[in-house]
Amino acid sequence: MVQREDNDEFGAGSGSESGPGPAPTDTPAPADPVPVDQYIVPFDHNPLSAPGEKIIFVGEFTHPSPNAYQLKYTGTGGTFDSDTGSASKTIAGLTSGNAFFFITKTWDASATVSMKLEVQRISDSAVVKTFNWTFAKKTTVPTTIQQQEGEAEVSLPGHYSYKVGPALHPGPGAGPDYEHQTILERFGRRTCNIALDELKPTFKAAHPGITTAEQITAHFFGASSSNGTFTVDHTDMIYDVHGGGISDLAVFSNALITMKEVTCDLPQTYEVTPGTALGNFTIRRIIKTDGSKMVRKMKT
Amino acid sequence: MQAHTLTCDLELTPALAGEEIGLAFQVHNTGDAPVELHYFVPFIGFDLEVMADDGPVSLVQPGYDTGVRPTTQTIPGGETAQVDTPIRLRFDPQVGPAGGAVPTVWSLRHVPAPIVVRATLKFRDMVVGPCESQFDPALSR
Repeated sequence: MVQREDNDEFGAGSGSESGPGPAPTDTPAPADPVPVDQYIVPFDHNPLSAPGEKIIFVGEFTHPSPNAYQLKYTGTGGTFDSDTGSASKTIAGLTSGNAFFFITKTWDASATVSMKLEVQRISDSAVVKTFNWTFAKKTTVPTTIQQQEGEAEVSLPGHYSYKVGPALHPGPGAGPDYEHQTILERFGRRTCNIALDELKPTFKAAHPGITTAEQITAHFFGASSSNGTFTVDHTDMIYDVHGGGISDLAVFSNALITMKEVTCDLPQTYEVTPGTALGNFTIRRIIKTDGSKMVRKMKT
Repeated sequence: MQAHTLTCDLELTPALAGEEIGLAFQVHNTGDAPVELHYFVPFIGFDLEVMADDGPVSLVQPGYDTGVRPTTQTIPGGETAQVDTPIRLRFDPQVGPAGGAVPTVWSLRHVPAPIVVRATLKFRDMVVGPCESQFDPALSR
């Protein structure tokens, strides 16, 4: 059994997961461990994208004192948060959340579109890690997406693999055809199968603010989702995971007059060209009457 | 498939000035032959059971929908590999059914107290564990 303390090295020196592309530059101060990469997105540091496309950058690092750091994004050929926003964005701490970067709508292939992420220690402005992305322009985009796992229920979390196509160079060993291309994920509004008249009077009395289907869904399942930018890999695949998001059985059996199988649906769209769906799916989270938690993902 | 030559340790680390608990896994290959771990990064393929002195602690996981990528880690015979996860734990006795605002923070519906956490790791083609660790929030502030 291990419980590491605050002054431990906290994983310094463990493997980086920064993905393809230039290795980050590490400049640790002697007494300060380097923040450890947890999630750096887009995975691909040489992505292919489109004019006007929204790219979601995410940087998550761990460190015993995350508030001693900030994340600084500096872009070229686009702006943050809107197409008239700033070219840079600084976020306190080591968890960026989603940073939305809009590539300029008038981008032609000769102009540079790039992004630099610097992990900066606040006390002395030292940059302890740097990540770079260099964009090029998409040409032939995929028009099909095929879920590889089928649509049966599986235990949470559910991992899913997608092949994009059509194959431009059919045959064993040919391709890839769409490697590096960015795919933007969008979510629609969650819904669930709990109606107001299925709730116990005691539950309603304890939650007088819950009077609509939307409020029921928000109470049990939340109202926000965090989408992302995917990049097609060397096998023309992308991978997705859906975890958590559904409470234990007791939460529902305490609220429902008659316990039943409860489901929550989250619509999801993968988009390779701005404004055009490549594929639409429904992510259905399920709690069975025996308490098991499942997920089912279906093309819609 | 249960990997009989693999065992694990669970590391629980104070994070965010003691407000959260970081997780990491050490996977030991007790056999002589190398073993490949296949999993997705970021790694969230594990089950947790949490116990306090007064019984099981309810764990509330917000929805986490994110892109991942497959990875393979080879552990030579007799050696150990670290498997990281972005998931952190936080005591929150008032947490609602939908969980907290951060998808990677799982809430323990309990006041801060010494706990025992048991993890079972579910890689793409094998299950490792369970492994268990204690955490006392009073020692981490």
